[in-house]
Amino acid sequence: MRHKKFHGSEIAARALAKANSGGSYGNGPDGWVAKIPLYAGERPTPGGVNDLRRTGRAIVYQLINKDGNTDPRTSFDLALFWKDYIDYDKLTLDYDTFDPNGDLTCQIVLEMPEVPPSFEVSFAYNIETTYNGELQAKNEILEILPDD
Amino acid sequence: MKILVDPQYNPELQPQITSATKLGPGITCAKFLGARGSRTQFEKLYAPGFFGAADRKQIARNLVLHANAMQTIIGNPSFYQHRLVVSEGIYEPNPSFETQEIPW
Repeated sequence: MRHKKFHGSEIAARALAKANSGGSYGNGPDGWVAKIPLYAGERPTPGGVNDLRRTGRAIVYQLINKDGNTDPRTSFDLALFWKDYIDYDKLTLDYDTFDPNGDLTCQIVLEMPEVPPSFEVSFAYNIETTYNGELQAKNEILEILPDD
Repeated sequence: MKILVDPQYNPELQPQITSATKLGPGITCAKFLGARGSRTQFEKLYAPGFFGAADRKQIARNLVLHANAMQTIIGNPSFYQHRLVVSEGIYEPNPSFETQEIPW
């Protein structure tokens, strides 16, 4: 009876290990155990920019000038140009001063709809301006200029 | 709205999607995979068995719209003194695993 129960546990541990990628099983001091790898990495917020970036729906762009720095003035012009000339789900003009030397940096986040094999899509045309991650304006592109 | 895609840049017509797959004139998938802030490869995308393999055709189809957006800047006289770069492209969550022991 004891042997049967012991055998049953081994089968269960083996089945569980087999059912999970990278799983293993063995007989430890407390009996049979299944070792299952548990994903402990980052899980992007569903619908967030990082989640959309996983499938290429969102991409972050920077406009670099001749000195190799982002140019907030021209980035604003580009955001205005894209607002009128391309199709998108959401266009975010994102300013920040996270650079250690305090410079104003600017990037444009373009979010697109998921494209089916038929290439039939619809666009939401949302616009946002953010500064250091804080929303500054919705449905509007604001120009934030560096201190000269 | 139906997006019109040049057949030579249509991912649906490509036998396989690699980083060299063209999405527009002078724009390949590598442009979005090799961004400064998020360098990755198709082969590395997603932890196998947990997120499932990357759907390369879906990714490439989505990127076609971005390639079209980039096309509007290339050769545009308003931005001829500037360079448009992808600062954060395709995102690969940092996979990390802990082992969980289940006793029987």
